[in-house]
Amino acid sequence: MYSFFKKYQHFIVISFFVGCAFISYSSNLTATSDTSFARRTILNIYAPPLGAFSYLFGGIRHFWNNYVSLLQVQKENQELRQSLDLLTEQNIYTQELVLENARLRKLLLLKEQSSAKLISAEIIGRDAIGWFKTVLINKGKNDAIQKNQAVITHQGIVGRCIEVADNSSKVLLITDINSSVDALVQRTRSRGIVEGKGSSLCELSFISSADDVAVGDLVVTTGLCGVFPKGLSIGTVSRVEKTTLGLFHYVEVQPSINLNKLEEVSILLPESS
Amino acid sequence: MKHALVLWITGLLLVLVQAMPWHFLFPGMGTLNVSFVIVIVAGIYSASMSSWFLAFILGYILESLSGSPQGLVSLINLLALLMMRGLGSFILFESFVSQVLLVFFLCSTADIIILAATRVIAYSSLNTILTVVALRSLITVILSIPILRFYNKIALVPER
Repeated sequence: MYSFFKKYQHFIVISFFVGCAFISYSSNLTATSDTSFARRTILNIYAPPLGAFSYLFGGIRHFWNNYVSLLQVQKENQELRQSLDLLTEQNIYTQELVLENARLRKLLLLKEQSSAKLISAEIIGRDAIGWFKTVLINKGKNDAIQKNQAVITHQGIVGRCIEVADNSSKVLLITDINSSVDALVQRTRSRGIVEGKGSSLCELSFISSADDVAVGDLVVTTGLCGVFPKGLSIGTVSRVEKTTLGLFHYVEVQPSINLNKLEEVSILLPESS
Repeated sequence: MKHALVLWITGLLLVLVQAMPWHFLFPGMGTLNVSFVIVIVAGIYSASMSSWFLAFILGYILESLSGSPQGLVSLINLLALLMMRGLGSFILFESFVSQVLLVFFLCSTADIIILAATRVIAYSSLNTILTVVALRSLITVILSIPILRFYNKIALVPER
């Protein structure tokens, strides 16, 4: 037995690891609700050093922004930008309400929109390969985070949790090619699906060639995909290629948030949690 | 044994760097899979079973810290070692030039496999994809030169 192993040692080892990789790869075909133990362990091991790096670099960045470059102007500028972002978001929300009223929905007995609980989290890591659009956050199962929960900021949606470890989670950004969000153009109510393009942009698919879409139109969530609530900003239309023969327009969407500069996010928890 | 340990530590540290400090040091620039160079170095210098284990584990950790499908990166790392075994019959890997060419070739191949397996290739033109892949591989080669030089140096020193 030993001599057999010795003789075919390399073949056995190679077959074993290739087999493990194939089994792991084939597990993508099955939809599991939980993150595997091995993945959770890796996330748990890597989260503390990544958190420390994030804290250190955040400190350096903060020092640079606040003390080295024009302290007062920088601060004022930041506050103004924050209030502008807040007002923009409020404006979008108000427009959404006006349109809703215009369709006489208020005649119906509207349920008060559930006040979902928000948990804030910091970005502690980004995609380690470079081809995918994911980030790691410093909140996990211990903070009541679950798979498929919405991740947002005050400017709009960021993505959704796809893997959850004890104290960290992986978030799939809306720009990743595996991401799709049910959406509508706010001005014309044309419905489509916002899909990531793997770059910094998204594509609004399935917009009929009969629909009216223009550059600058705001794209918001419909609330039908079960992850994001209705009326959250996704982005603005940055390019439209109208087709005369095809069934659908080609619509490119610029996300509301610069996902490359994201530092803090909020996770929407259901009211029960 | 010592060389294998150095490879393990370097590989695990590079994965950590790829996940966070990279984005701080090079904001806006996509992450390059520099830890893949460690797999190639392991293939060049370590004929033992540990190189296969290292390739699998590094791939698995990278998958866990990125949006890659499970098993894909570990499979690519193992495939790279298999390719090196095949190429080893024709090419002398001890030469620095052949090592640099090998890194470029394997990085490009790995990127193309990832793009094809994850449908990213369908969203851009072939020219764009090839240019980006070539550019990424070229930068990876430049970054791998100190790593290759270091291992060329320590591998020539006999282990005690």
